[in-house]
Amino acid sequence: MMKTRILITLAAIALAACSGGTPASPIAPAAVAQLSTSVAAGWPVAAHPDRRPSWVSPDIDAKQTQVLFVSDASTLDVYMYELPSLKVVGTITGFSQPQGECSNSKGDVWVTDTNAQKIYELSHLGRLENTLSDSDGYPVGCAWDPKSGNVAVMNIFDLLGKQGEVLVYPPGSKQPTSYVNAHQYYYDFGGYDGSGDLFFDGRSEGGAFMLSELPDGSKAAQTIKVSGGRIYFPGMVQMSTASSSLLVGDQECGGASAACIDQLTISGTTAKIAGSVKLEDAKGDAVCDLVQGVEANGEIAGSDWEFCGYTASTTDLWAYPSGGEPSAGNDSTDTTPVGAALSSGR
Amino acid sequence: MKRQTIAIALIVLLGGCGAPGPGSMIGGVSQAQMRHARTLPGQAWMDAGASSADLIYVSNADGEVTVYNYSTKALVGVLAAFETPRGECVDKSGNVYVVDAGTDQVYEYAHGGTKAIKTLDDSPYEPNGCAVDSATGNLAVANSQGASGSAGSIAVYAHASGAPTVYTSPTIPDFAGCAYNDDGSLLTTGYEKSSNDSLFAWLPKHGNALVSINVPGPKASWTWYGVTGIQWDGAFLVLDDGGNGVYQIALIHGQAYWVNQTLLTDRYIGGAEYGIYDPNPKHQGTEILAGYIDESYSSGVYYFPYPGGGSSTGSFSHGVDDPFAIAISLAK
Repeated sequence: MMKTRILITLAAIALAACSGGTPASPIAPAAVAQLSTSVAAGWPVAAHPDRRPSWVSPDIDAKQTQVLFVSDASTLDVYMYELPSLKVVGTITGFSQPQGECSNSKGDVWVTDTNAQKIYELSHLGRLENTLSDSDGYPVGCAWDPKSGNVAVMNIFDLLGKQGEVLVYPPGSKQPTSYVNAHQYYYDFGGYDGSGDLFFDGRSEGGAFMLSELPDGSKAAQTIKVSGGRIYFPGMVQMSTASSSLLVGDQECGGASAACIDQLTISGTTAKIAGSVKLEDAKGDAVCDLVQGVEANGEIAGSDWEFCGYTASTTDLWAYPSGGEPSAGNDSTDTTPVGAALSSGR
Repeated sequence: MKRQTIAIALIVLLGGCGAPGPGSMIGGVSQAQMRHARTLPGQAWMDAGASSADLIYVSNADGEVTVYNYSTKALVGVLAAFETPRGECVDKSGNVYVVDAGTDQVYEYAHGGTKAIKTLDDSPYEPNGCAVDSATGNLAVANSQGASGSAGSIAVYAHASGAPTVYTSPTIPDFAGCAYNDDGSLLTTGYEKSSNDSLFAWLPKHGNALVSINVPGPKASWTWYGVTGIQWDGAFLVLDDGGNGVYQIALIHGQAYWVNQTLLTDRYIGGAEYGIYDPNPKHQGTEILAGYIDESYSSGVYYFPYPGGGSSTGSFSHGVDDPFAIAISLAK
């Protein structure tokens, strides 16, 4: 297949960003090292930022193709999958520790680069559009607000490993505002509803799952008490496109090495688990881990990170809300898939 | 080649001259030091009442594991059943495990005990380090090599007994160390086949295979070299690369995060694992002990504030010989 190399790689951008580093930070500004030499399914070579050029296939129709962006924390790349074929149509390189993702209605995708303390905004075709810096902590999740255009970033913890926060960047601004729920210590993933309310998950200092809400216009986040079941480890957060449910991923579904997506009915400061979507691999076994997925078009798109050691990691499509075995999958690329976002061309 | 135990009383006495002694002193030499000098190689002993205090266990190149009172820094005992004692680890009951690269055995001692209460056969692997999961009591042993120089492994002994489950890696032939975090995940480290570059793998809490993992360092383009051990400090995993400091890392659901580093400013530190004093296991430790060997080949152990680091606040040297590992067992 003919591949077109895009001119701007994140490696170059990361180097250019060095001049903006904060001397007081124990983290050096983003930089790049040598690239990994080989990757074996299920056992990726421990890599440094991948300096190979990014590429995007000309097969992408900028207006028609839906693209699933998947970040990989081992190969340190972001892969672009054409939907519904799941064919790889691009690879964006140069990240230090890519994790969570979010996208807007224009098709732009934000990728958090945890160790670099950056959030990169990529176009539908994978071009770097903008870079947000995060001097407070280590970004993991992000969410785009369709009401305001704000981008919220969840820092799992601060630079000393203490309580995290949510940073909200207004459109066009690189100066965020910090928000916390005083009871929440670790901040993982988040999603907005249509009214500007931000929901995000994480854990208490003792490690218990927590769900919080930053209501539109509020200065502090509040705890959402969850009933009707137990969520063991925080995963994706997204308002369902098919119902009024808040979808919250559990990376340790039932306390085991399995992943499910719980459907929560929100009422004030309480939430009830009304249903749960169990995800399986192509063999009919529970997926080992879905860190972040996207629900849209009657499907869940995301990746099974197979650290359980049974099969290779795969990027899959599952029917929603029935779950079960994937309707399509691709095991050729990802090794440690983390974040996922759907980009629709315009 | 396995080391022979060598104990020369004169050297031991001289080596102890500068170290703070226990309460009972005769001519500047403690009763324990005199006892150590009189003790024949291979004989274990422990002061009566030693077990009532927090104890430091130091594995030495001369084949002894010497035991010290944490507060007074006095030598209070010697364990001497080893050929080449290396890594040490402690379970939540205060039992101390010592891995012996000479006999390929793992010895478990009760806090303050002189005889092993359990021996685990780790052969044909050569053990280098160990860790205990405080929640399950599982013991993980990092093996540097197998039979006839074949690849090493991570051996996990369920409840620290019986035969182990052995995990190997296609990219890490030589495991140096490992440590459990507070959720039962095991981070392991070892060396690449043809370099001193350190690689990492983790064993998930419910996993059945080692999984490669990138561990960030203090710079975005960081490459780890010569990481000799990993410990748990009560809040973070701590990497030791043989330099004048240690590095704190968080391991959360298979993702490693850089946190901070502790720099220790005294000379001669390096080459020995560190011991972290953590009197409240739900919080980060408060003091770190570092072994040293100086240019005249004198050895000892320094105390430093933790995690702040800086200059040492105390030391001992009696009985210490090119220390390999330091473990701290809390009194119950």
